[in-house]
Amino acid sequence: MESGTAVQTRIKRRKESSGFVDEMRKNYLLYLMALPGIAVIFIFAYLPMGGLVIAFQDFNPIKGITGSEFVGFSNFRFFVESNDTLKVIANTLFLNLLFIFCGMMVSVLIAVMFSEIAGKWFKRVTQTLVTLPNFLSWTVISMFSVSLLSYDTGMINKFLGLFGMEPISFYSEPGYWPLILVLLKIWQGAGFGSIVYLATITGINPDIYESASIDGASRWHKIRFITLPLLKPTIILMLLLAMGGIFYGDFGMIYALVGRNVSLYPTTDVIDTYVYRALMDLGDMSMAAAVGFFQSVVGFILVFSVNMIARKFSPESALF
Amino acid sequence: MKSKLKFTASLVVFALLVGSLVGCSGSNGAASSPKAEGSSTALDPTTLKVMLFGDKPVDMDKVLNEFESRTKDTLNTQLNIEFNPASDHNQKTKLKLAAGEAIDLMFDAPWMNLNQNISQGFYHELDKYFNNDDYPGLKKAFSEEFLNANKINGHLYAIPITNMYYDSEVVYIRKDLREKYGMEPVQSYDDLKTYLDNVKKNEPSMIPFALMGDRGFFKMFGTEDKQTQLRAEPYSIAGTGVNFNLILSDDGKQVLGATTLGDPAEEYAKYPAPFNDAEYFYDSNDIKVEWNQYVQKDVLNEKDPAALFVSGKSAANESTINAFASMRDRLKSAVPGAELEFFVYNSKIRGLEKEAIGTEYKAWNYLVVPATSKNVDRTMKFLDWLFGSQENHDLFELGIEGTHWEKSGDRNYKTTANTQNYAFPGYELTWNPTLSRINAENSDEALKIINYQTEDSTYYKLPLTGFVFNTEPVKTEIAKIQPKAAELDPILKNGLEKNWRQSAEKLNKELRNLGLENVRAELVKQAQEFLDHNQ
Repeated sequence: MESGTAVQTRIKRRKESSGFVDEMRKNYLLYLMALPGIAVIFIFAYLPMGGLVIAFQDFNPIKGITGSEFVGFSNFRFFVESNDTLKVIANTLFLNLLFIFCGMMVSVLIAVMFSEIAGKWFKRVTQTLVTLPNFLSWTVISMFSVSLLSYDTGMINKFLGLFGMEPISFYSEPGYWPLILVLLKIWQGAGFGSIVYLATITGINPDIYESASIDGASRWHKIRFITLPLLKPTIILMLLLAMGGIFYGDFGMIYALVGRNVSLYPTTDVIDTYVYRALMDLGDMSMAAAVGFFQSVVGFILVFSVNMIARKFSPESALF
Repeated sequence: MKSKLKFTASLVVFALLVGSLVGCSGSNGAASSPKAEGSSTALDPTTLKVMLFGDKPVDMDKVLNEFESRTKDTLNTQLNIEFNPASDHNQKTKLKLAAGEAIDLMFDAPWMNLNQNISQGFYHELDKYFNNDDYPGLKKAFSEEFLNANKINGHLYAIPITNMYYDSEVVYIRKDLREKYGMEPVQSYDDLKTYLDNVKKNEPSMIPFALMGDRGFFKMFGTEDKQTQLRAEPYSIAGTGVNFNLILSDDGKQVLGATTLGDPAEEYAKYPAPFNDAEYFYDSNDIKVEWNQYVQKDVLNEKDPAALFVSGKSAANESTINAFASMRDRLKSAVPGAELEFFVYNSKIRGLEKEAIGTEYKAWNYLVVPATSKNVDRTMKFLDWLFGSQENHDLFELGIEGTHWEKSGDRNYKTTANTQNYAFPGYELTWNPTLSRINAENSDEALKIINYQTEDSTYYKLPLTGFVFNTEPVKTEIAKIQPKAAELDPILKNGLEKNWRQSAEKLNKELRNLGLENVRAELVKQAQEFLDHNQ
């Protein structure tokens, strides 16, 4: 297999010069159409990457990138040397893995359920309802969560009180928070996340289901042996994309929900919230860029390695 | 093809973070219209770009129209004021400046980016506009002393905006509840405790004393001693990551050293009494622990305890005296029959003693003219006009007379039905010790304290006045110790840890491993250099 491809590329390469001209002559209109897109990506995605250099500078916006002093890796020092670095990295990874896997499972579940619903009107209404929370900002959700979880005035504790149970102090018990965060994340995002899977399911050839029915397959069998296997490439693809962001804590979410509540830091403090607190008073762009650079590099490595694994086990769903 | 696109898409995301750090827009906000005006005395028409934070007052445009019609023949200036939420203002101005966008006047403060931005050369130096007969309004409104205290590196980069040097902390309580319990007015911490005990006993659905998570009891129970050879809480030097107690020699010329929370006893023993005992600085934490019984359980998560107080869910609120009028309005409209009262918890301020409050004569809020502005002269002309007469000043601070406010005596004003349509954040642009009017609807007691705060004799000058700690040499250490130290801080402030001495010791050891000693040495060194330089 390996040597086969090698031979093919070699043959291709020999033809390359004439091949390129031919290709251009034949498809120049298509390339022309792609040009604006390529230009936009180049200008807004690749050119700004030059700005990464400020992670290695004592950056001063007035002096600019060219005038600032180069200081090597010293901007990385504070993050590497802090006592809490391992804790916040572990929290970031743990929470993100929970978010990714739980969110994915629920999204797939929702998509499968929707694909099985026959009533058109009912389907539309429920689909809108599960998608809706995605459009609420975390600041709004944090107000919901206070009125749900507060010790003195929260709905859950009032409810527990009805049954004579002791109220739970959610806002001072870090142990509850991975669960609370995951539940909120699912409530907010899983419905919206299911759209991609639902689209894939809609694209599955109905003939397959029909012939399975003729062979006597039950509904459950069809889900188990047709829908889910055909969803696999999409699931892996979404997983790969999510991996790139695994080192980025969801700052908007966690800062809105937890804020500066120190008693919850043991389980909720992620890289982004930690760096925010460490650098807020200093306002040092270079040190912030250094951490961002570190997160990006690790994210890239993860995407790369997960893609390698994916290529091995399921080549059709790998990104590259 | 599809998967390639997705890969590219993920690269876009990867690069966005980097991209957001490098601003590259260069629009010029200070466009002036080419149309020439007829009048010869009028200046060329110009538009100034102003950036403030908070909610835009409903009638802002009406006031601006009035301003333009009053000054058409003189200033001929239009103001384009952009209001952003407070948290965005900080970020947005920083990015706009980094991108080189033209802003003519904006708000900044030491608690935002002021000191860093000045040291990075973001702002115009404004020395020549003050104490200058071409700008009589500025000359009159800003005394030389006031300006000198607000200079940085010997120059004025930021115009101080304040109406008094201090806003006294008070505990607001409910007069109606106090009378219900048959109590006399609260005059001491003991009285306050009795009041809270009564609330706890009689109002099971109320939180006796709701605090804010990161503010806690604030300066309650703290030392009230005059700081003549010391800079410690509540007047500690800012920007060091953790608060130090900086101790000076008797003559105030030598820095003896600095101690901090959790230092071993021998560290304190080096210094003269009473600074040789950690208890002098920190024993108020015991009282906070004792008083925690009145505080809401979720206090660390609380961001707006005033909302709980004015809606009748809590019976006491720690805040400042300038909030009196608005607090009373909010409370009365939400809880029928409720009456507001306050207790000034610093006994020296309560007794209206002279030299009760230490100050550096510094404002908390400033206006700056960014280096990107091309209209410095015109901006200063506008400010000269604004501070030039009581009438002009009233227009921006209070709105249109008769519509938004009414005169009450020489120095006070009364609110009208339309006052809320022009709630201009005066502390960002107009506050001034001589020109600002006081709301006549404060109670007599509140007015007494507010007037006391405007008097010079209330204040004494702190040692090391004018010293600003430069974080640059130890910024890595500060970034390491600050988040760690900030974890214990709200716990102590709210009295949540009974064994706070042990926790503090443990924290101190950790901080030492993270570079606490470097920061301490740098603080002592810089403070000594400042003293040597200014004698």
